[in-house]
Formats: sequence, C-alpha cells, structure tokens
Amino acid sequence: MTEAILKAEKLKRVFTSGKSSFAAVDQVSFELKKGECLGIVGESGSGKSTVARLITGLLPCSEGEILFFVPEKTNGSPGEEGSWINITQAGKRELRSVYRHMQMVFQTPAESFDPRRTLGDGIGESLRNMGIKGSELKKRVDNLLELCGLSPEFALRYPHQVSGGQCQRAAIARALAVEPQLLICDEATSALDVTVQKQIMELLMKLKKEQNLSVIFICHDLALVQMFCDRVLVMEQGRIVETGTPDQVIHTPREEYTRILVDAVFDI
Amino acid sequence: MNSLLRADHLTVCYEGIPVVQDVSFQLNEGEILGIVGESGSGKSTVIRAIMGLLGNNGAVTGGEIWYRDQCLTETSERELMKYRGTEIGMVFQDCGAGFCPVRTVGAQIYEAVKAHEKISRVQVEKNAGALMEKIGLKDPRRVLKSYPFQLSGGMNQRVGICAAMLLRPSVLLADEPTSALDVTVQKQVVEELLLMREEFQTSMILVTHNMGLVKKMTDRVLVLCNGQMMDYGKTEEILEHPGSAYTQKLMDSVIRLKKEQL
Repeated sequence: MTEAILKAEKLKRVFTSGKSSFAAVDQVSFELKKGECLGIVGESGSGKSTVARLITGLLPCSEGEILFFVPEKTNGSPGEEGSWINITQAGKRELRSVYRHMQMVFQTPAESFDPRRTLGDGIGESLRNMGIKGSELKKRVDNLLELCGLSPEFALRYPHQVSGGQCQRAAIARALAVEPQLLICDEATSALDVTVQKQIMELLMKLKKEQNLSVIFICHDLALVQMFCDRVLVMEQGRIVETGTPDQVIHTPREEYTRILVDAVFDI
Repeated sequence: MNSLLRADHLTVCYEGIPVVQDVSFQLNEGEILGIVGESGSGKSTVIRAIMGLLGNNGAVTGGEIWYRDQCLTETSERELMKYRGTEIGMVFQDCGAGFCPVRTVGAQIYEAVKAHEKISRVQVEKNAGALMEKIGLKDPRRVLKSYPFQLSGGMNQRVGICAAMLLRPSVLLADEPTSALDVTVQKQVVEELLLMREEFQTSMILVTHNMGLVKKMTDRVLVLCNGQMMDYGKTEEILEHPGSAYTQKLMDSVIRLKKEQL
C-alpha cells in the first residue's frame, strides 16, 4: 500500500478555439499508491474527464508530466523490478507497455465496443495481441466473464443484444483481461439503473480487495465515492480545490464549493 | 381535492407487445405524482400515452386516460392539439435538443405561444422574461436573444421549463427533467418546479429513476417494473414500507450519502 504507481505533476491542458484559449485542467498534481482508490468529483466542465484522458495518453498534456510505474513481470508490483515511464513523452511502443498495466472503462458501455464484433471478440483482443489463442483464449475470456458475473454464452453476443449493465460488465471484463495495475473508471456507473449500479460497485469492490487493484474513480455521485474511495480530489474549473478522505471532505468541507456539492445531494 | 388526470387500467402496446399493462393512477389538483422504475419499465411510455405521442408503432390497447371530463384516449388528433401545451405541458430530459439549433430561443418561445393564443412578440418576451427571472435565469434579455448552443445544459433545461409554463398548463409532465444536470443545477431546477406549483397550483407527473428526487418532490408515487404496477400510494409510506419485494430491492440498491458523522 505504500509504493506509488502513478505520479501526476502540474498537469495543464489548454484547448484553443480560434483566438481564445481555455485551460480545462490546470496545476493538477497527485499521487496514486498501489491498491488505492482515488475518487475525482466536481461539476461537469470541471476537468474530471480531461484528467483521465491525460493520464491514459489519449490527450497530450500542454504542460506537466505523468509518471507511471511499469513492472517488468506482468503480475509484478512496485518494489520489484520495473521502470517509470513518462506518459507525456512516451512513444507508441512505450504506451503499448503502459496499456498492459493501465486500462479504462467509459461512461457509455455500448459505444466502447465494436458493434460488428461479439463481446467475446472485444474482450479477447488484447489477449490475442499477447499471442494467446485457441482453447486457452476461450478459457481466459470465459473466466473474465465469470469474474464479472456474466455466463460464458455472453462471449457470442453482440453489444446491441445485451443490456447496458451487462455491456458495462463486459467492458470491465475487457479492461481486466491484461490484469492491469490501474483501472480508470470515467463515470462508469452513471448511465445505469440503481440496481445495476449496485452490482457494478460490488464487482469493483471485490476486484479491489482480491486483486489489490488501484482505481481512479471519476464520478459526480458523492455517495458512490464515499462508499468506494480511499481518497478524493474535488475539482473546480480545472483545478484541485480540496483533497482528503471522502468522510473528511463530505463531513467537514473546507471549501464553499465542496459544501455546495454536498448540500445539493437529496437525502433519501 | 378533485381528480385532474386519471388512468384506468391502461395498457399500451408497441408492435403488439405490451409495454405497460393494467396501470391505474390518479392525479389531483396541485399534486405531484412520481413514476419510478428501471429503464425499460414503461415510465416514459405512460407519459407519451397521455400526450398521444406513441408514434406509429404504439397504441393504447386497453383502458382509458381521462383529463377532467374528457377521455384523451378517444380524442382525435386534431382535438388533442387543443390540450397539448395549454392544458397539459411537457418537459423533456434534454430540452436543449428540443429547440431548433439555428433560431434564437426567443423566436421559438414566441412561436410556441403564438400557436395557442393571439399575442404580440413583445408581450410574449415580456412574459417570458418575468417568468425567467422568477425561476432564477439571470439576464432574460440575453437568454432570449441566444441560440440554444450558446446556453449551458442547465440553462436550456430552465428555458424549456419556462416555455412549458408560459402557457400555464394545469398539468406538467416532466420526463427525467434533471437527469442530465449536475447535482447543484438539479437542486435549482427542482426548487423552481416546486415554486411553479406554489405560484400556479400546477399538478405534475415526474418520471425519474432518482429516489432522492422522488422523496424531495412527490406526494404520491407509482412504481413500475416491466410495465406492471408494483406499488402505488403516498410517497412516504411507499419509501419507508414498500409493499412489494421489487420496491424493496430498488430502495436497497440506492447508495446513500452519509452526511453526518456517526
């Protein structure tokens, strides 16, 4: 629990349109430890998703750097042999090795799968790239589906043939195929019904406990963050305005902005 | 209290497959009724049936919907036009998408009001401006001159509520009116809707999957699952003592925010 696996330092991302420019993310620094779950909350437009896209290298940083620990062995943990890769300067080859240890789950599960290919195909793609094939591949895919609470028959279905919740579980199965160190969930449960949301949260908690998975959990629902995360960053207009444990932030917010966020949640 | 809107054993089919079965409820004057359920439970279909917006594939195959002493399910399309907007208004999940992108908000609000009453544009904009100020939209003149893409999601949603309320409908049907909004904006919109009820005694049907919203806003609640009625009654009673196992499951799935230190 003590070793860091991800360090972000003074991230900045500027979007320009015409002559005007706008910093979607500014001065964002944080560290993530092995097995830790970090929540990022804030209103829409506060830069939560941009941070996720910067970390995963889907979007280049304007300034700052992101260091990610890549262990030498697939199942290695920090402290063992490995190297730090600077994602902001990494080439394609380096990024590929990063993605063996870092995976992402998106908000709209159906859109993240190729509609013309089966779920099993999508889940097994990264395994095929690693040279696994035939019955071994099928066995691995079936195991992943089972881990995420789906029966093996789902491997043969197409994205439009399953419900949103089932598709999101398949997306988590796909992300877990490479046995990543870090899972980044960008509003992974926001589009789902409460009953399905609960199942997905239980799955994530199980994975965190059993596989010591580190998670960056981007969410606008404070209740989920409170239940799941060890630490939380509150973002406002691209900057981190408050950090702490979820209970600290929710019970004794230091910033007015955080207090407004907490007050806006309806009691049930 | 008088019943304003009533559904009796309503059954709706899409292409022969029933999606809402034998659903009955009643909306009294000044009351807010919540309809909750998972996606695919038929919540939105109920609202569409009331407005006669089921499209070519859908039809009410059983039961009736009554508005005051008019049976809506047996009213012709032409007659229904008189009720839509003026008597029964509607707010959608994404009001911004309902506006034409290449015309200003003011022009579209004027068009909507003009379709129902003889009124000048100046008067419409004056009324709209007054209403916007009431529901916390700052600088109404700028808003009316804006195109939908120049306004945020929350502002568009409030403009949609404003457009619906300008005709002073007796009943407002709101389909997930706050689901696309941030919690802070959601809170404002909810307060505005409650203010509307206080000012104009508007009755509302609120379709949502947010149980917190149901508790905050509604007097009575209808729980749907696969088109069937699971529970119907006073919101407090249903949420605290669910009558069906399904409602219990729904309540158990809600992850609550613990605000106070234990």
